[in-house]
Amino acid sequence: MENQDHDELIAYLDGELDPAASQQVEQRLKSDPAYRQALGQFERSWDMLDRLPRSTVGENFTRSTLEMVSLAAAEDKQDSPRRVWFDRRTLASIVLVVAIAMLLGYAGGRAIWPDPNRDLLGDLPILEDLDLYEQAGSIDYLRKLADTGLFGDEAGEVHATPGLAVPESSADRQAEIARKTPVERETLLRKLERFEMYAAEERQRLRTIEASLNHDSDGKQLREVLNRYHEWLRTLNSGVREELNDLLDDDRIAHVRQIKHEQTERRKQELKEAPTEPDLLAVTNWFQDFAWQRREALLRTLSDPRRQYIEGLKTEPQRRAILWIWMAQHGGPGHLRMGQIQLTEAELAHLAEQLSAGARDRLDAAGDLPTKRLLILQWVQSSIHHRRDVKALRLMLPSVSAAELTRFGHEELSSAQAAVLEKMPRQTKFRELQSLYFLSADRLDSMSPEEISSLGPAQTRELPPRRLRVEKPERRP
Amino acid sequence: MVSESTARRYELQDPDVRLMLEVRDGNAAAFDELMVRYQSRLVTVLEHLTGRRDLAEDLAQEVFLRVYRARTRYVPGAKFSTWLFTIANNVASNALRTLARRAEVQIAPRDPEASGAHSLDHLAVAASGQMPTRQLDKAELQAVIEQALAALNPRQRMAVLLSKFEEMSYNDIAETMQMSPQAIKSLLARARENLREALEPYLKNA
Repeated sequence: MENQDHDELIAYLDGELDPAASQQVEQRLKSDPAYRQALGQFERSWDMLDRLPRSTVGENFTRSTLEMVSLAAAEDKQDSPRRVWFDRRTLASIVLVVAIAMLLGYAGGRAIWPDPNRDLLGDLPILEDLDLYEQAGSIDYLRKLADTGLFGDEAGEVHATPGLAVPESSADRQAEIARKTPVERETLLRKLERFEMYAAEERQRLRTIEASLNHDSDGKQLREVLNRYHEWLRTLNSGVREELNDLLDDDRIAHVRQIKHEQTERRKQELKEAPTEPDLLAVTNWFQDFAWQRREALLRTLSDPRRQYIEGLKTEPQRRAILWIWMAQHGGPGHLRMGQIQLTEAELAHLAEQLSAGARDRLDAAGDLPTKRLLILQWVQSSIHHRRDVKALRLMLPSVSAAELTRFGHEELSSAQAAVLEKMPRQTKFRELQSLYFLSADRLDSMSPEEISSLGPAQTRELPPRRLRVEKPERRP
Repeated sequence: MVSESTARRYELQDPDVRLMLEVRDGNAAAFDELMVRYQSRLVTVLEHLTGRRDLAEDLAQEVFLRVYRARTRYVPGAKFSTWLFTIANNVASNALRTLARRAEVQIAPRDPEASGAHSLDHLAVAASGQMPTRQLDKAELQAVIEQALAALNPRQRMAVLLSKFEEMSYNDIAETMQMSPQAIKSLLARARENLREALEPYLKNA
């Protein structure tokens, strides 16, 4: 068969031929078995590519990219940037050499580069908490911030761990890094990459903050303030954060105070306008339909047995399973993100039909699609929290047969996850397995530890999932 | 030079073009939104193109930086995704060329041992090379597919990735890779022929 024949056949498969050429191909397919066989092979080999994994990036990537872009914006404005932007090739080389050194192991790494991890080891305490220290400004700023009382005990629980105990000696630090999972090492590398981008004086500033927080008498209290401040900054968009960073200490504190005041007022207003119970119910039902429409793509992310099991469920449990998977894949019930979801006009109209006149007016008044999406997301979150309040959230978890859960536990969990589950009381273990069941393993693989731990109730998710601990398949003769 | 009517047409048809126009007009949130929409798609293509996750993320950041830097000059002359992947193709081609010239590291094909997988040669293929001697498990089969993809030349690989992952038409791929649609038709046909040859012994496993 000539190359030309295959060009036509493949273009036919891709739907790229005009009607006349398509008809010619179809005629020939009827009469030429070899041509038909080639078509089947092209089709099947193409379909095999569906098994290639799709990457997902974590918040770290988004954050560091936006920081990079913010920096570019600052350079564009010809402000005096606080950071020195390395030539990307130099940066790539640094990261590459460190990555290779880590892969080869520290001994091997030292052989090709005198001490590739000196900075990594020396600054490990800073790197572990780099996100925090970057926001700290200076220790004086933190003290002023503490004096305002804006981030005191009443400002809410702190989720971040207060002060990680990083060992003193290089050898212990090396051992600590070696104990980390690949995902944690990757996260650390990204932080090193960021840290290396700072000018020397900026790096020194971060070191000073870290030392003060660990050794000054008020260090512990300041660290708590910093943790709360950091959590709060995450509620702002990057533009506002950048604006804050550009201000001097006193102006920054005044601005923080003003933003917090506005947030409180807005929250009060939102509470006044909270959707009614029938509206929340309508949103819940609509949300189930929304996830259901996307079930094919969602199911493709699961392992074959899990997909087949869920497909075999009756409609209602299957709808709940799909809803759960959708939520798990988009940040978890408490932290949903709908930013990347293409919401169709028809879906919007469908929701509007089911709402009360008041809620419909609010949706209309939201204006453009991104704002509407944000409002719907708020309602969805409210409907989930509403159900949680009435202890019904657990009912949203569809049931899985004991046999299927046992199979899942044996075949799809890592040994570390299984070990933790083994120690749990029977009922907790069951719930844990059940919620892990509705998460895609591929999604878990690509998430940072912070993201995984923010997902929700399943405690074993923070453990390395199976694919990160790849054992080579046994070779048979 | 893009005509006003073309720009208007893309603005009306493509919501992402409208977002990019907002970025041009100084809306930072619009850029965040575009990033969230495209970052995973971009990293997926770049990871399979280069065979390395870290490099893919670096390149994706470079692409977003270029998008941002180009914002003030932005005039819609194509779908946003086509424009974005055109930049990605240029950035990736430069990186692959530079790295190949410096021979710093081996770019795709991925190092199979490092990923815990086996090379095609070792994957239980009989001496005849025609049929695997046993059923492959899921991870092995995925490794086979990754290596079949990695064995394509970079241009074939990019065309395949844009077609498979981005479901682009020949015209859009042609625009992205700055080639003619006819050339893309041949390029994809050669790529698919190579994939068929590499994967044929494993079709039954699939």
